[in-house]
Amino acid sequence: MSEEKHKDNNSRRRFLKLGLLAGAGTVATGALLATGKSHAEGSGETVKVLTTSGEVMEVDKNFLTLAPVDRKESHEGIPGRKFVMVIDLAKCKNARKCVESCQKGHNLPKGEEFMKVYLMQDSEKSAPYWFPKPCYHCDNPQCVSVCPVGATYKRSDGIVLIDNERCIGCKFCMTGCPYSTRVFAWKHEEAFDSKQPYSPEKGVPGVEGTVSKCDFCPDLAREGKLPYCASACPMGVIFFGDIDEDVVTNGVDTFKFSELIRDRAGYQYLENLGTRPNVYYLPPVDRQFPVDRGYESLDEDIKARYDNTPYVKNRKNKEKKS
Amino acid sequence: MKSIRILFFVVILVALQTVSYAQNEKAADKSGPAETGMIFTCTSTSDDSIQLKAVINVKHEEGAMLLANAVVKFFVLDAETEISLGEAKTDFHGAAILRIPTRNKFARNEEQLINFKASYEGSDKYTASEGEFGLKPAKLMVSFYEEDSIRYVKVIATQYNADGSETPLGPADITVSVPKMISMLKIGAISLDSTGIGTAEFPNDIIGDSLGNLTVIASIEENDIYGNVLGKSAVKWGLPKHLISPDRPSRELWTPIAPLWMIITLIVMLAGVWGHYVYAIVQLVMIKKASPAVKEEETT
Amino acid sequence: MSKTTTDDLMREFAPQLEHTGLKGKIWIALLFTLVLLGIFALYWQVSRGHIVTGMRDNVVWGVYIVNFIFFMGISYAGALISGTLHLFHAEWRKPIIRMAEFITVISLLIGPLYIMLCIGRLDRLPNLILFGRIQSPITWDVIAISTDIIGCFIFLYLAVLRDLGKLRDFSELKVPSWQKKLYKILALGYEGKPEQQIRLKRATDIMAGMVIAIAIIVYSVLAWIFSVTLQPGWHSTIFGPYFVIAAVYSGSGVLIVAMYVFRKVYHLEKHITVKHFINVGVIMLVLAAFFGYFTFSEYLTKWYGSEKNDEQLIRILFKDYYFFFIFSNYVGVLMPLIVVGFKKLRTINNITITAVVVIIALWMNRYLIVVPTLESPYLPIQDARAAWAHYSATWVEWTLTLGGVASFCLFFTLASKLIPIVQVSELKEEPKEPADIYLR
Repeated sequence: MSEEKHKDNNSRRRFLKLGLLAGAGTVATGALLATGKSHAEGSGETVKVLTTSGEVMEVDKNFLTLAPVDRKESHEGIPGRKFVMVIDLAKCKNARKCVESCQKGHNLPKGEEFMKVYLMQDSEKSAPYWFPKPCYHCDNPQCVSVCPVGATYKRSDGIVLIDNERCIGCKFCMTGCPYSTRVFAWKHEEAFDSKQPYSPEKGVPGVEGTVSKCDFCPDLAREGKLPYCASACPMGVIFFGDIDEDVVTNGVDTFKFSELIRDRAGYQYLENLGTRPNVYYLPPVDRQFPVDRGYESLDEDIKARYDNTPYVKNRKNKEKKS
Repeated sequence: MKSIRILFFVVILVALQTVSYAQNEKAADKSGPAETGMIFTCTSTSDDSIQLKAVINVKHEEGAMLLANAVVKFFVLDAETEISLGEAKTDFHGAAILRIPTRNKFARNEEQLINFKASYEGSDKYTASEGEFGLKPAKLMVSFYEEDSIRYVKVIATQYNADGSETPLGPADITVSVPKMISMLKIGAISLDSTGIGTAEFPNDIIGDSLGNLTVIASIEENDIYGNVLGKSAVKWGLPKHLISPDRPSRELWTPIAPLWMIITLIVMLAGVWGHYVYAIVQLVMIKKASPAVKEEETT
Repeated sequence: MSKTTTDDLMREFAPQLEHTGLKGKIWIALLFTLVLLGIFALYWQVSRGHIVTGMRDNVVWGVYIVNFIFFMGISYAGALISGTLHLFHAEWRKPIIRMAEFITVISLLIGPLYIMLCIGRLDRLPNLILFGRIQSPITWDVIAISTDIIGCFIFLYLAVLRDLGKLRDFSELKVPSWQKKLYKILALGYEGKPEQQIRLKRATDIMAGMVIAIAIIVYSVLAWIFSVTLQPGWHSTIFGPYFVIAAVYSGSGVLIVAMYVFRKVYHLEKHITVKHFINVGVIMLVLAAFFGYFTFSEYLTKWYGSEKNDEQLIRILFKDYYFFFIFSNYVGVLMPLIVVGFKKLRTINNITITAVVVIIALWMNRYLIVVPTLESPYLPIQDARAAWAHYSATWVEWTLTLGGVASFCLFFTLASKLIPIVQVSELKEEPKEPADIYLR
């Protein structure tokens, strides 16, 4: 759960804050967390921990906090919560740490991304900006409506999960989602052979021939932690919280959700489609970084993705002329 | 002449070998124990105790990992000596916690701060690390009152001096916050007056639990003198929180159970169509029954 | 009187059932080989995962779904044409209704196989029944297609019943004894007795009406699988009727090709004349007009409104799929109008060539409905991998397409060996009114 690259001051303050939280926060949250049934030893997922004898131990999460949730239990949401995410487009510089840490947390192969970062440009004359896009966990989820077997479902805490043991791989949900959020496991990956018991809340191990997507990391939320993407972002772009509690945080700053949306003119993407998404965007006003910064530092194969955007085409034209 | 030259070269070679061997040894030493780091903080909490917390992490290629089951020894630094306070093992979050009472007779330095030290001895796999933290024990008492239908939160801050007396706290920044799901929401800031008392207006739109209860925490963070101080209290000034989000319908396109009209339409259509099939099949059965072979059987 | 004619017909058609010439055997062997190749490709796909197809995260439905829609579409031709002609008491339909009914049933068997090829976890297929959700258009489709298959089978059986009786009674028939026994069992003791005739007529009338209704409903459900999603290009209000019209249109084309082939192979020139070709050709012409109208309506509204996503779709259609678009929407519409519209051009060969063009044009039209929309989603496809941005079908998909077409032809051929491809029994055998019988 350690963050990798942080400015030192931030890291220490953040750490202290989280440390203080451990004491004070658990009292408040403990009353609201689900009492997940604890499973027998040996089940559940593990955390890598170093012991003094120098072993890297995979410790069953039983010893840490709550046990992972099985397929039937995963239909119940975390009681008393309704999750919301706010993404600050003004600060995103396409560091892609969100993408990478999510891939790591869900054992995804390199080409598969649950969190995708697009280079968007709303119209010809408007400025391009980086657009991180997780699953929006819509309140009117088209993907759930069209699933013929009920493999994907919306819980009371707002999270839309996929049960990869029931999914038949018809891919109707992939055509139903207007935000191109879902990805399909087209072939067998090594990571699928892991002996971990499967939990829809973690989505690991994956299953060949089924659909998966961003899940707002409910396994982390049960422990009072932020999703992988929110913790990993070096700019604090991704805020996560409970909309009924009206609070979102990116790990460093905490805001009242309603105030944040009001003061920064938060909006939902393509909300006219009637999907009622649960991810809000703060418009790219007073940008911290120019788009060039996020583009130039990329690897070639990732850079190639954006070749068809007006921004990159303009760049290439300018380079040709000069 | 020749032999001297040969001898010369042999000596050079041996010298080079020894030097490289020594360097290898050093390198081997470098790949020995992994480097650890400790973050040591102390907090005075409102239950009259000081929490000493040491978190040990290990620098790894994949990043820092937390070290569990490590024994951390805690000390108070008194002039030149170290008085042992006890020891604790790090848990799986890498944190070792020890609590000591706030009212204590530990030695103080010139600025009236108690200096704590935590040390991890290390092992053959891990280097040793230690941390120091100095603070003057303090206490924050949180209370609430209402005046002219405006709500206030009041904090009385005191510090514990070396002679055991409790005096008002000096100037410090106090943050008033409410713990939420993952983090703390800051709802106000208080500056203390000379008597160590400060108030702030309490906002009316903070959402609490389903009954409106709120836990309010006043905190001082990373103060040069007082370190970290926490004071906690509860009040029923929050807006009630829905336990289930109010707009959750029971029969929609995306719910497990379909809308009633869909079920009824489906049943009616299926009944209509399959009813006709049954009719046609019945006709076929009757055709068979009316065949001469069967009729013969019936008559004989 | 009628009995002699029927016997003559039986003598004429008996050779079809009794032996297969060398050409026939080669034909069947060829089809069988193609089917085996298809099965190999299926094995390849099942063992290596869907990565061997051209489908990727954006274009998740490709050639398989196109084939599925196409085969389901052909089946409605049989249903609608034979059902409608039955209800209209059109006399000229007699030589061709058997073919139409066969087309219906056989394509209904092959179409659903293509969905299964598109499903990622075939081992979980029972989930569709165990955990089916009524709100999902795919569940509607599962229910509808199963209902349709049963209904069309019943309809075919009712239509074939009297022929089965004739086959059972025709003593000169030289077929293996198991086949004779089969006829006896399937004929259900039908002797042409008045009571049996009445019952058969009732059942057939009801099923003819049902088959028309079911065909329309089932194909609309299939259209709604696309139109209820939000994808620009699919989210159209006229998809239901559009698909139904296109389906019957394609079916009429297949019927004409079947008529041509069987006429040549079984020497049915006496029974299937140019008049039949012209009549079905006229049906094809009318449907071409409707199809052209619907297609034009679709693209006109998209183009005129010039909504951003519609524009993107149209741009892709004209850039990457130009040939497909012109062929399916212009040639496919105009050719029948011209060939059947002008008296001079109405020859059997011309009409058959037009029918082939129509079949290909409609397959392309289905392709244009499924794939380009998926290549122009709301969020721009920003992916460096070419396969993710643009769909191109692999050998696995083409082999399985060929295998499906081959199975269709194979089943058709084998069916024609079991039951005469031209209806043997008189159309008029059934009394017009039950009262006729009791007037003796």
